[in-house]
Amino acid sequence: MIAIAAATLTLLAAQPFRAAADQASPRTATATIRGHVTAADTGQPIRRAQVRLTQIYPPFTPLSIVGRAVMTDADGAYEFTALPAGRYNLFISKAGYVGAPWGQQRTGEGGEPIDAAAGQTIDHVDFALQRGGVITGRIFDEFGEPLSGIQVSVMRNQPMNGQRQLMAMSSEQTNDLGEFRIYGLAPGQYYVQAAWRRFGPGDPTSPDRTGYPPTLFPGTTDAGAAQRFTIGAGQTIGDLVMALSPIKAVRVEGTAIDSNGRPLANALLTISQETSTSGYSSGQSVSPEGKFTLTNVTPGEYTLRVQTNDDRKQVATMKLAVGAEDIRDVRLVASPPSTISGRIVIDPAQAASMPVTTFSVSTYSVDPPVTVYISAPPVRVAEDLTFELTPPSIGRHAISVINLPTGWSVRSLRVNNIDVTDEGIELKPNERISGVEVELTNKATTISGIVKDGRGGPAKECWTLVFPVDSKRWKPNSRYMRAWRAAEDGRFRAAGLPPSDYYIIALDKMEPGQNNDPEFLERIRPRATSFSLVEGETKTLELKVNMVF
Amino acid sequence: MIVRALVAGTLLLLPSAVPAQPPARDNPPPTGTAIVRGRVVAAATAHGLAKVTVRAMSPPLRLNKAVLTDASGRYDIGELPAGRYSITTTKTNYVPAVHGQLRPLGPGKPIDVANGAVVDHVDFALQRTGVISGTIVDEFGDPAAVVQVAPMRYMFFNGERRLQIAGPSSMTNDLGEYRLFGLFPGQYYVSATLRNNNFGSESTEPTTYAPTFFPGTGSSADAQRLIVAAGQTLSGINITLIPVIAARVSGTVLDTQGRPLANAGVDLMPRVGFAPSAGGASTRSDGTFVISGVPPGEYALRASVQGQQEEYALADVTVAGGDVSGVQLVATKSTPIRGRIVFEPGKGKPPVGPAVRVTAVRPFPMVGVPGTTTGREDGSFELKTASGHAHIRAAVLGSGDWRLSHVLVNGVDVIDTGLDIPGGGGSVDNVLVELTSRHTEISGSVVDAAGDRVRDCVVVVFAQDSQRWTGPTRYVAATRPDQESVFHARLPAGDYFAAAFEHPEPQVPTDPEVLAQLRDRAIPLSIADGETKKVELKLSQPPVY
Repeated sequence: MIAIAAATLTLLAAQPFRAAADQASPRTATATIRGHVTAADTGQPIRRAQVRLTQIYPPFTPLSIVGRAVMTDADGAYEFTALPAGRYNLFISKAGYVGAPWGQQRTGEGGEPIDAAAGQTIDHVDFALQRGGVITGRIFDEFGEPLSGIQVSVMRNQPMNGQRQLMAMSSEQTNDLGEFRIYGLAPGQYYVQAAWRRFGPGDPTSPDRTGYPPTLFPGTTDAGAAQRFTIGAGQTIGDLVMALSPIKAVRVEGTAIDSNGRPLANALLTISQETSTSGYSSGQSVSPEGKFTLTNVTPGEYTLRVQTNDDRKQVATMKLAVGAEDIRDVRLVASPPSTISGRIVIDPAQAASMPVTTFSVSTYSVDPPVTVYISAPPVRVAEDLTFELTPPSIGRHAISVINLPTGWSVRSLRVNNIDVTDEGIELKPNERISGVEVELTNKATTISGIVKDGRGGPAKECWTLVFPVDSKRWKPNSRYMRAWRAAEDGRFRAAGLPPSDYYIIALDKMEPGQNNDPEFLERIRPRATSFSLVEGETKTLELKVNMVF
Repeated sequence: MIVRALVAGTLLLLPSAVPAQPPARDNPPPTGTAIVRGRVVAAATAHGLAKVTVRAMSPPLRLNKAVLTDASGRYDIGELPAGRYSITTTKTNYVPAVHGQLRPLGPGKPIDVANGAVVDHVDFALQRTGVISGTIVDEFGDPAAVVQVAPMRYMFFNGERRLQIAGPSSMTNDLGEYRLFGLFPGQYYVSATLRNNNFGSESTEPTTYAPTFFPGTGSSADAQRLIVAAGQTLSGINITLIPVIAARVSGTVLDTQGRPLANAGVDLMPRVGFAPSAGGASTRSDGTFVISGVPPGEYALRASVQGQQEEYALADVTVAGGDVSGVQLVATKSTPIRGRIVFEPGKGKPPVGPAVRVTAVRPFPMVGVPGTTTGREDGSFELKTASGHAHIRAAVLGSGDWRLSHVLVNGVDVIDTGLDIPGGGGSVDNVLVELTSRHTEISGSVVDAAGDRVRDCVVVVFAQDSQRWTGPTRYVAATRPDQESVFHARLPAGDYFAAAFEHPEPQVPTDPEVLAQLRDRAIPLSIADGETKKVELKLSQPPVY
């Protein structure tokens, strides 16, 4: 069974950067960042902690991130040498401790970047590592026998996409004694859930027709009745013992046929179950006669997908609601996959300044992330700038362009001359959409400026939010929304906001994900500064920090 | 009947009478009025065990009926027709049992059930599976977290002996603790491998940890063999990781046109063994990549672009302590092998094309290149694989009635020699894969010094020509006597040796060193095409390996 973590960005961080960028040539790669790592509670040096460094300036494309990692020595010391001048993030981790970015003020928040100039040595970039909390326990079945292979997750009630939901922070599988140990937890409040997932081909001759539902301590399937555990720094909570109550697990049988009614022999069948935060799936082959049997399926909502791996090119997707009865007659009728085809267009006036590049394109979802989304496999754009994408998921897609040169971005997405940049392209099964145009531009808008505190000096440690006036666009992942932490000098710069009317506000603090919460945006709107941007415009703004109540 | 595994891994060893799943087309299983019942307890506590799957199997009747024990461990299998049945049990974390067996995992004794009879007290005392546990520390004695610890066994495949992962692995926690559970009784080695978590960043650490075997060696030859009995826990199996020089492997990936391939995933796979990956990276916009923190060893470097299964790039890399730079991976298209599957006219209706799996077998697992396909309805097939030398193998899914007899390329039978698959846009066409239902078989029984039939043993039949002991050979077979104490070995016509010996371990050694030992104590025999030869073998000394 494969767990797929959903990648939902709750925070879009703009990369504040200065206009002039140093090139990372060996002659100027002379900066050094170093420090010590100690245990926060004892002050003792910590050996073999990993310090990871990523470069966020000069402006980067994902393909040119410089990432480095070193381990601390016996004295807890570490050092990065021969660094190009730039802005860096550092992250410390060691098993058993709470990982943290450098400059983190409060657990769970972001950190602060470090600016290094050519030849500069920045010392005392120190970390005090907090011991992680630990939760241990044992899971038993209804007969008092230990249950192995149960996934136990430690969950937090987090704001996500405007709502609070239980999100898994860390999980472990129980061993043969039913034991689990989850370590490295940041202080906070948690719920503990035990989940049994065995859906898949299984053994059709097995007489076992029971399974277990996801169960929260102390033994309930109702999140409202679950026990909340408070973990302090380095605290261990255990031995949490829970017995699971069985429910019916059914069999699902069916056939898969192609668009001509022939059995879809030996195709790959996947059954998956998706929550808002993760997905689980199991794959198997359809028999040569086009039949399949799934066992150990507990009640719930599933997605069945079938696809061929050879030149037959047939796919099908189907939602399946499973109750307490076996299902014997599932029929998956496959058809040729849906495709999106079109071309990349560049304004001839700008085309001259586009460096020769080979692009690839892929897709991302414009729908609210209630299910796990699978991006289309990236395809190379042809010499004549045409492409054809085959997204595996149905829904509404936007097109991403991989390998864009610095300063270029997607200006708009059109289908047969209708602008669908915000709505995306809706793709249904067995549908082929053509006439798609992806327009690129290097005339991005830019806003820059400075945030000042109450005394008129640069505001440090504040959050700056940009959100559109049109509240219909207050969606997570919206290209009209940005949020970032201030730099040391209070300055900021954000490029690539689409031409529109906006609000901007600087806040003294903000919880992760709050900027996606429409209620929160509604509350702060009256105090925000409004501005508008037209195509290619550069605007400078000066903001004062607001206190959040 | 022997079923050969076509993909890399263990030579699948099944007792000769395999209870085949009735094909969907068949009639529903026969019923009767006999009952088999009993009680299953845990051997350690003598308490009843609930939710144990108890199965009554009769291959001649094509019957396979299973029930679950209740809260007190009792079960009842009813509606059985008269016949001879093996009664087996399975439950997670318990060693599977067969009624009447004399040792864990040994052959059982079937029971005869008459019409309408009630056979009671078919009881079981189940042993728990074994456990190996311990702590992994680094050279400073500090607990080492995120280390993958795995149980290993020697597997024999294609004339090679190789240490392979033999069960689920365990990741050490923050205290460095691991627990390998669910182990069947047998011999194991334990390996500890630190996961390379440097994907996306370059590590400038001068040292890393090589895969280390208990008690603390980097060499599998010096690894200590552990014997786990049923229900046994071996604790304190601690390993101190050995630091080795960490190397950087860097280079470029080019696409089929020779242009830099950005955003490709590059993966370093150990050529020998078992660690899933020794590190990886994504290529940058100029097609370059750096993988850091690589321990010394022999690797296959593979580049792939997400969604592109037809193109692949492979290179062999040897890391001997120093950095390896300038590795160039040039993507090529995999080569199609096309042809038809034909069935020699014989008894029975041949299966449909989609029920036949055709595979290109390589000397060692060629990661990332599928090399397997199933036939189409019209009997044609096309598989895509990397260039190089390969053997074509084919088998019918779910049935042993048909076996591969010839692989013809331009009229030449390459079934044993294999063929060279071209690269660079070439193809192999008009391959004829022929299957037959006519069998050539050696069968018989094994007797001990007193002349009594022995069921708990292995029989190895191997070609007299030692050239046929290596590679994906069809001329070496290992099998065990069935429910009737008769063994069956299906092989091509030719001259062979046959030897029988006691061997409780599931993996039977069939590499050339062992076959050379067996030659001294084996009897020669020859079989002609289509012949079934009966033979009686004397139990001989097991080989030493």
